[in-house]
Amino acid sequence: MTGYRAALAAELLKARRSKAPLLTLLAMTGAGAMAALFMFVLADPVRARRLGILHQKAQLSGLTADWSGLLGLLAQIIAVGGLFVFAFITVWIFGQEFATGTLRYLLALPVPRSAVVLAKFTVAALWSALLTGWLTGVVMIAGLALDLPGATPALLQDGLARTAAAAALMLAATTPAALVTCATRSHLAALSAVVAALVLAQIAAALGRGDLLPWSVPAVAAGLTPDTRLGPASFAITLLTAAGGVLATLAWWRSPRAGR
Amino acid sequence: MSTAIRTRGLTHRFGRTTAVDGVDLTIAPGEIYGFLGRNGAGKTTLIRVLLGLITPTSGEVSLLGTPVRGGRTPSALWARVGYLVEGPGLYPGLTVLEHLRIAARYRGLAAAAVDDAVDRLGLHRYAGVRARALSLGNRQRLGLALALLHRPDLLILDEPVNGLDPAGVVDVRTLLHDLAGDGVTVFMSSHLIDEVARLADRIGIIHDGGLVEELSGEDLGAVRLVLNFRTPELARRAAAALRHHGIDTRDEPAGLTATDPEAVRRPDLVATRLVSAGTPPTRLAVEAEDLEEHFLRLTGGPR
Repeated sequence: MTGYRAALAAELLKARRSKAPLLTLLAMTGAGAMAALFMFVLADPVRARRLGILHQKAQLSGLTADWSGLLGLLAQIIAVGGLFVFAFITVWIFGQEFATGTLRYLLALPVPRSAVVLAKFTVAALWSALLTGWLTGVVMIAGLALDLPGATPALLQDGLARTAAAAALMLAATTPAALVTCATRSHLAALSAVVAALVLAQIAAALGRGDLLPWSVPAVAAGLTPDTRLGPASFAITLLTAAGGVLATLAWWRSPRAGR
Repeated sequence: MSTAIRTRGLTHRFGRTTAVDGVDLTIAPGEIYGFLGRNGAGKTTLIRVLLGLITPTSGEVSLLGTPVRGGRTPSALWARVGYLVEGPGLYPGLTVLEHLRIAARYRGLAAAAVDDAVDRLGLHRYAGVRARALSLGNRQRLGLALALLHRPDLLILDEPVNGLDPAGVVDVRTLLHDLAGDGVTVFMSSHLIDEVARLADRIGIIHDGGLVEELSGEDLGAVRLVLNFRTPELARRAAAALRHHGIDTRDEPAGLTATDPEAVRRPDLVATRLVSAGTPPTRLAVEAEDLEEHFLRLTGGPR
């Protein structure tokens, strides 16, 4: 597409020069460290009892101190925490143009507005994929360092596949965050909407209908809700949400509202 | 292409507020057109409409012969238009050079274009400085560099010398003159009357959203006859009386003016005719007016 490569290069440079990627990296590293700590606590009950409340929390999680438990925790982090982190990335990428007043300089370029929007979604996807990879790496290193039992090729493959599926589904479900950011011209309003989506996802999962809400589908894919299974409707809803978020954002950028 | 900017009946409303009211503009290629108005007169809204950032409520806009229709404007037009509106939009974490390189990538320009822009706007010392650390004046220089990077045929500038020191103002003025000499059309809005008077070939004065007057450099300083009357009704009858004698007048907030050379040369004759018609003026004077006086008179005087 005309101008897409130029727009992509520009968006990548903006992302590299910003502090936001570092913040998300730190967040994911922290999440990986917490997963390692949980496994550490569960692996040695004697040592764990000295840690008091953390031991109780780890036990309540229902996890086991092995690779199965660790990979389950990885998928959980992505399926639940991923909503906020991936949406934050999308909100930041689109929202910076309002915060810095640069939007008006992207609307009258010899590059279609659609190229700019698609470049932004591309960077959001790449960034989210990198963070997922980073978190996976941190968790894998933690598992090796803790010498957790139960690693088999099939288990690892299944665990990583569930993580990848949860990440892909969550990324798809967060595209509407771009539209909310643009329509409200506000990071805060968009992030508030993300929190609302997170709450709805928890409610849907608790009611056993997590397969029908796009923001709880990743949790079902990650195996967090053993009594719920994904069906064709789950994927269709998620796909429609993804497409709807992208198309609606494109429409907003081409509408009279963008230049106001 | 016969016009660089053309608007017909251009109107834009925000709710019940009319920000631009039936503006007709025709600006020829290579002109420097100064757009003067008070704060809130509609200058920036008009510029946003010209750039397709706002879709007007009614009316037409074309730039360089291409109709502007918001998000549906052919994007190729923007390769020929440079603009700076409501200050430069800069990314705090990017340096001066990075801003220019990104813009060059968007516009398919070679690296030499960036070097040239840095030269023209005197940005060498600040090339590696991040935008958040730039002074207001240097931010403005960077904004101008971004507007000029691709050597546009048409420049649309909103308050181009905002924040610049006196030397910077002179530099920009010289630059714009040189560009106009090369055939670039410059449309600049400003509240700085002196700058507009020095730079513009033609000046448009906007007030309450409407284009109240267009004048050229020659119009300013021209001598005219100023007539004030006790009531608007007397002024109206006086205008009719003078028209009967072949003297055209112009309505002003406080009365009438006439630039007819005979009227200016014979104010006594004008006075006699007005008294005979039963419309005696309360004041009659021959004046030469500068742009500031003219502007204030048209827009209701100092606040």
